[in-house]
Amino acid sequence: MKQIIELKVNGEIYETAVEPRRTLLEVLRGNLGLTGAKEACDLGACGTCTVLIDGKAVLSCLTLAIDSQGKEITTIEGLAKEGKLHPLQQNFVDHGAIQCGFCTPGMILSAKALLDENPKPTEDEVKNGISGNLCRCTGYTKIIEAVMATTKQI
Amino acid sequence: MEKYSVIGKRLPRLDSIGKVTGDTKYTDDMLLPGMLYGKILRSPYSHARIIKIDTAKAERLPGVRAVITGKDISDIPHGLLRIKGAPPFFRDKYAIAKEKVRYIGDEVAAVAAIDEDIAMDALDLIEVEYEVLPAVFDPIEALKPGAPKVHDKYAETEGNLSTSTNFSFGDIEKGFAESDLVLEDHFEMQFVCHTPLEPHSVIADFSHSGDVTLWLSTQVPFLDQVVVAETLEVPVSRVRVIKPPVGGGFGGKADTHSLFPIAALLSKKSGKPVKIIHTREEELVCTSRRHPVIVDHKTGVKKDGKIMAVESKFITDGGAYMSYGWASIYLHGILQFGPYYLDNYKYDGFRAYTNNPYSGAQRGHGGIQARFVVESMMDMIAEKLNLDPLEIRKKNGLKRGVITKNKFNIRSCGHVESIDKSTEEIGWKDKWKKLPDGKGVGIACNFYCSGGALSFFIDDYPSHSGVNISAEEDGAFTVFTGSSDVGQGSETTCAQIAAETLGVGIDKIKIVAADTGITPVDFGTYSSRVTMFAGNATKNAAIQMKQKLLETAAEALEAHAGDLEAREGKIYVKGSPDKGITVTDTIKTYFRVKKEPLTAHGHYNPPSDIADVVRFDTGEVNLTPAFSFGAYTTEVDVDKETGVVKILKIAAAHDCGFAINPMAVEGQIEGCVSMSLGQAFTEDFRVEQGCSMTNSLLDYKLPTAADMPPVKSIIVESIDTEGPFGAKESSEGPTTPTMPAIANAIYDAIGVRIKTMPITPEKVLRALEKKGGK
Repeated sequence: MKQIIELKVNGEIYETAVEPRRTLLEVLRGNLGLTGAKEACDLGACGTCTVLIDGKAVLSCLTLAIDSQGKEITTIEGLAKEGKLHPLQQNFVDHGAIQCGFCTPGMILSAKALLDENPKPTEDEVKNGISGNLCRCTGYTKIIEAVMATTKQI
Repeated sequence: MEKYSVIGKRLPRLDSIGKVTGDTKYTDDMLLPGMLYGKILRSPYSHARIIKIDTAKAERLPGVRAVITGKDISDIPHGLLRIKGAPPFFRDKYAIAKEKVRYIGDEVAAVAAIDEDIAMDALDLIEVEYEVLPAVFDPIEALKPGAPKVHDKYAETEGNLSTSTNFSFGDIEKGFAESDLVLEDHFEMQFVCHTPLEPHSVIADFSHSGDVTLWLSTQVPFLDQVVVAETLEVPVSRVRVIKPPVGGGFGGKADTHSLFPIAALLSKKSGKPVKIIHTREEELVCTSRRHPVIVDHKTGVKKDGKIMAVESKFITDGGAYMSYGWASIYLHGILQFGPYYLDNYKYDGFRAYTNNPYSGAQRGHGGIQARFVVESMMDMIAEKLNLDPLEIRKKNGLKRGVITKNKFNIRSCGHVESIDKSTEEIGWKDKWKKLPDGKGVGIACNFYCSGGALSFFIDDYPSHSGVNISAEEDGAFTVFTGSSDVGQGSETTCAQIAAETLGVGIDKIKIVAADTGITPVDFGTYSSRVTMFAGNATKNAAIQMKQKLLETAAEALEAHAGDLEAREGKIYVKGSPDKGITVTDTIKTYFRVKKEPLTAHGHYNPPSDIADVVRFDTGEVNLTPAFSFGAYTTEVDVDKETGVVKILKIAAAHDCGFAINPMAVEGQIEGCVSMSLGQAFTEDFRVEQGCSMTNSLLDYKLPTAADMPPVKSIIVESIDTEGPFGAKESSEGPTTPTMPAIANAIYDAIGVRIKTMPITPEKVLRALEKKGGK
């Protein structure tokens, strides 16, 4: 049985009808057309579905949509402001931290949650901070460089 | 002025803004009106005969729009290879099983419904009666006479010999007789999975007019076009394959896959577009994986380390189907020829059919296993002869200008330079044999092809890439390339090549790629071929376009076209860059004068001396336009109490000929290192009695950021005479030296030799115990 829920995503209010069992990932992608969060394992092992809820990195494939009401949800689509990339996005571009790009939205959001809490992390803290986000292409080297470069700019 | 304006630069990828903002739409991000969702019913048995399938209940479930089984598909098996003269057994798989299922996961039926949940429910309503058959899971058992037959009609001989390659050249008996040392050993490597983060995905739309359009996550759209056309029994020209952005491939998406024709058939039957996305379990179990190998290897050398003879025997577990197995068993043998001179060689490769999930091609195809064996042996030999592992590698190393005994034409070679640069970076001189107990350094070298020269799906071409370029009135150029960027960045590389050749900035290049309906034929992304093949095709097309531009500008400037130069958006008489005409004005002039579109075509076929030499009996094959070289050194710290190996650093020197985009080349090297670290330590696709024990990303462990040691990428540029601007491959060869370099470093650290992958703490401790007990 579907029920109407209200989600605040990237500062906008969305009203949508969902079954209570639906995950936030399913609703973001299927109901709201926000496809930046990806599904790659569906059991919380890969991090491609990462979004921010009240600033914390959360696996949207393990989070129910109805439980996400009344909270500030940020997806990758909400990171660039007024046509200007977030410094993390810009550094991912400039440092070659992107290959296939499938992990990139989740990776950037995990890095953002890390830097918001700890703006000057060590390299090991960065590695641990993004260790829940798998990347099969880059070997992480350039991702770590991009995040470390951002710490010097913010 | 610098030699080049656009190539050789660390430019960001063309698609990077889309990928950091979430704009990029992969196959699963797309919807078509009325689209249905497909799911596949898979065999729960390793080996069984299908007696009866009853789909009536599933068809009656509200929301179900189509159900198909093996009887709905053509009798043409959809296997991969169509090499001239290849035997029919290369094609051994139906999109849906017809009589038998051969592994747990084989396709039995498929459903399309209005949503995924209904499709899943419908699968449960399909009733299948099986007659379970005896199964075989071990490749050595499978090859014995009397083993249960996986394929009744395809296996080469009694037993389950899927395919074999046996060749020799020189005189190995004489070679061994003249050797001062003959060393024999045994090696084994495990199954590992490609594991792209984006699972295999398809949307198929079979229209009532008979045209089929497919959006596929693929490395080989033109191969998929042929396979889907044959399986659906429609003309190739009625099938259009479009490759959206792809979330990683690594060889797995170069295979033929059942879900593509299945989606097309469900679409045909339902009259609606159908989407199928593999679950992660399907992705791990029901696609191909790297062949596990069992190797007996024997090398004879002179006292000074010169290799006199090699005899090598590989047995591989092919699983239930052929996939790229024919190529794998061949490459395991021929990629042992380099980077060292080899005059006397015998190779016997046997690929067994079993009732395990099937094996195919994965990044570093064939080279991963060959290098682990050969580079381990090189160190073992060096130790016995009291030689320096660097010197034995240099002494035996191939050189530029050499044509090897088996006809490899070495047009460029950065072997020695790679060894020197890598060892300098790791501090070899001060570390090898000098570090305290538990710490050590090791080296291994690379040797790989820059694209296979053979055709395997369009009979009349060799491996081929085509490119069209059209000029736009705003001074930009649209490059239509059939090549497939699956994340490696080849579209950016090709754009840089086009921009450099045309004398414009990269912002003036727009790429339209990998759409069989509008781009020229390109064989795809496999065997590390794209820079060499599509890069050369792009360069050739741009040269044709540039000639037209220069001829047009020559008239405007009242000069000879041969005296003109194009650079940074301007065409001018050489030496006088201040006077001239812009490229934009030149294009407009062309339109005004000629009154026709300004277009050009270029393509690339491998040099004719290559494809003409293929001797399966002697191993003579010049399989590629260019060979990559390289050397990795690594420093390790082994905890002798726990057996845990910590990698302190990897210095990865790779000879890519010329780096069109150094940042992209480094990215390939680093990604290759990470993938090989996975195989070295944590990745192990385990199958027990045909049943996968590792069917999720919790069980199948990919390396994380926290597992990555510092990797120093070192680019060596040997400037190949065949490559575009001298470039060779950098996406597969760099996987190959990691594992043997680690094994050699562990030996330097603790004096035990690991000859099987993966390297687990238990294995290290057991080896230490054994050594202590001696």
